[in-house]
Amino acid sequence: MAEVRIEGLTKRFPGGVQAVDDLDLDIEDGEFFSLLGPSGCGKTTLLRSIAGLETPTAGRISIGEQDVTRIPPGERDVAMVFQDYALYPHMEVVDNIAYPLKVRKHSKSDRHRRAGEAAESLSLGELLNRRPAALSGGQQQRVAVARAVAHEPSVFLFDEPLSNLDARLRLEARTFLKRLQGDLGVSTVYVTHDQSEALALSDRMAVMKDGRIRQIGAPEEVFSRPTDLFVASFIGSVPMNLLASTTTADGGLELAGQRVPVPGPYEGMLEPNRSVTFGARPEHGSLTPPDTPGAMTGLAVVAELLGTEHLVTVECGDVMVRVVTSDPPTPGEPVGVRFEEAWVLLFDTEDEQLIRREPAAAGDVRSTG
Amino acid sequence: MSAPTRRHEPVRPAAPPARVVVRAVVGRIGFYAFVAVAGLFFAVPMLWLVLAPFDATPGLAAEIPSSVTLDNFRAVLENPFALRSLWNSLLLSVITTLLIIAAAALSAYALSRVRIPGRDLMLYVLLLFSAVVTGTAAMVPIFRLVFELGLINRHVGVVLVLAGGLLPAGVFILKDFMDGLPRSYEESALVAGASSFQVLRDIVTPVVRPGLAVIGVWALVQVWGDFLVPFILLRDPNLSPAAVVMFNFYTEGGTANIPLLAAFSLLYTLPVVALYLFVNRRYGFRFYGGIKS
Ligand SMILES: Nc1ncnc2c1ncn2[C@@H]1O[C@H](COP(=O)(O)OP(=O)(O)OP(=O)(O)O)[C@@H](O)[C@H]1O
Ligand SMILES: [Mg+2]
Repeated sequence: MAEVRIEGLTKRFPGGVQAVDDLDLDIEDGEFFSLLGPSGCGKTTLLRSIAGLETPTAGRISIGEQDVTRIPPGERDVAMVFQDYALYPHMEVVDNIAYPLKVRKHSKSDRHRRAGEAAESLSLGELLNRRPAALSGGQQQRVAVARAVAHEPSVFLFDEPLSNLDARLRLEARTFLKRLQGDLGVSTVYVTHDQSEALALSDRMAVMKDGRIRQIGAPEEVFSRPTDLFVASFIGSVPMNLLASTTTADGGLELAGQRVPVPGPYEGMLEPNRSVTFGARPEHGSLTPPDTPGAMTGLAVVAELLGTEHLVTVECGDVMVRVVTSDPPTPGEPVGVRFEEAWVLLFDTEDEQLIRREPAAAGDVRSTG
Repeated sequence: MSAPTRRHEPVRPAAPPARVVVRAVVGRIGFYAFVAVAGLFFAVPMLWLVLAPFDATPGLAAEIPSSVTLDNFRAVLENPFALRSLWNSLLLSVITTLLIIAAAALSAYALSRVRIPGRDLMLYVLLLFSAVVTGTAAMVPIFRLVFELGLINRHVGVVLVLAGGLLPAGVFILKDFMDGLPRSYEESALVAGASSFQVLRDIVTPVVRPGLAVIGVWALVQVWGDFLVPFILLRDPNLSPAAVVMFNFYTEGGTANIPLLAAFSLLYTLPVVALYLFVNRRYGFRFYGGIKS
């Protein structure tokens, strides 16, 4: 068990792609840390650099007290689960799980005992003598995790380990992974492009784009207070409403041709005539009767069932506003929309940053949750 | 057409006009006749190969032996060169094959993993010229080269020339298998702490085993059947392999010794067939890469 410290890490591939760009990151001992971002943002490259499978162009990586930047992968005491699981097709499950121990010259009995224990804890006891090809996707995934567990490393590295599973299995495996990590207390770096996975699993998470970290924090914080427009649009299974708006001279906001009050937390912070982006999650909105003061008015166009609640799309002038409600209007009906002021976020349209009372400090991105 | 397929036929199309039917039938008959003749063309020599050795008076035609005998095989055993040549063939082909497998495995792995500019072009060019090495055209310079190296009349010379000539094709086939091997296999072994050698031994080799079997059998058959290279590079009949010795089976009268040739041909063929069956059973043949377990 150990913390992982990354300082000024840059990785430029031959051909000029800058996959990781001067990145700093501290992952604490025993923490479940997720790297989240769209395809191609450099998550895998960062993870592989920690594993030692990529040589950084610049920067330092240390695990525990040790600077591992120039140390080969096998001496870093990490275990990695690959997206395709990388189970060896010619070995039985038990030999697959025990291979890292075999390489480290553990005795045969010790290998089999530890492989057996790891398999047992992942309910693979019955499958020890099967070949990987004879396993289901979920079973293969657990074998890959068992191989990492049996190895007892100081850091787990996971690269989208659940992306090959179907939706239901993914949910199950997610719960399972979270619990396993909690029991073992091994520092874990988990790469995913699925924001719900990152929110569900992490103690802390980082949202990446173009090789840089946009925001680091606890999942609740990243979800409710995204610090820029990219993070705001990326997080949330129902996307956040992001509406172009302008402050007015009388201390209000003009939004889709209508006037709404500036949300409480922002009162007195905004000069008139400033372009801002109004951000509010559909979950924090509610429907009111049309023409309620302080609410926007529009026509309900679609209501989609989410399960227990409905996602209602309201057309206000030429913008679409989404609200989650348990009591959907009939399409075509005029309704008012209001968002809880405490949850509303305003972003500067120019630099796409969240507008805050004190200007964002330079090191802000590294602040812990 | 079998019953279950017919069930899926929605509506029987209207019967085609008689002329079309006749043409189709005649076409079919013509096709079968052609296939039968072509088949016979290949089958008759095979038939000769299995019948003639047991014929007391074999000719050049394939015929049921009038009297069955094993004398022809005794003649082979008594011939001073026959058995020794089979041994020579075995020695040459096994050593060459092992050399090819080892060298092709290492170079195919490296070529598959290391990015060098012009790699594919280089492979194609090598493949193209390798056919020349074991062919007729290059025999004079090759003889000269081997002569200068002092390897004339030594098995080592034959082994090197044949291995060199066959290696590019072996690398080419094997590289396809190596390309099909996901890098994550090796990387997960590396993260587990394995050395490059351990990765090659524990992961790469077992997974590409069908590829090794393919080039192994192929190389063995090539060397076993090669006539030109040993014929030119070996002067001493005691060193010659079967393919060359067979060329010298004459009676005192100066005509081809057909009884001896027949029996020897069968003995010469059997190991190759046996090897094919064994390897196919053990590893299965596949001429493409990709992981299937
Ligand atoms: N070996 C390589 N050579 C050149 N460019 C590479 C290499 N590996 C990755 N890249 C590039 O680096 C960038 C980051 O790649 P990376 O695999 O880290 O993305 P990712 O965030 O893991 O994406 P995904 O979610 O699709 O897996 C991409 O633009 C990719 O094309
Ligand atoms: Mg990736």
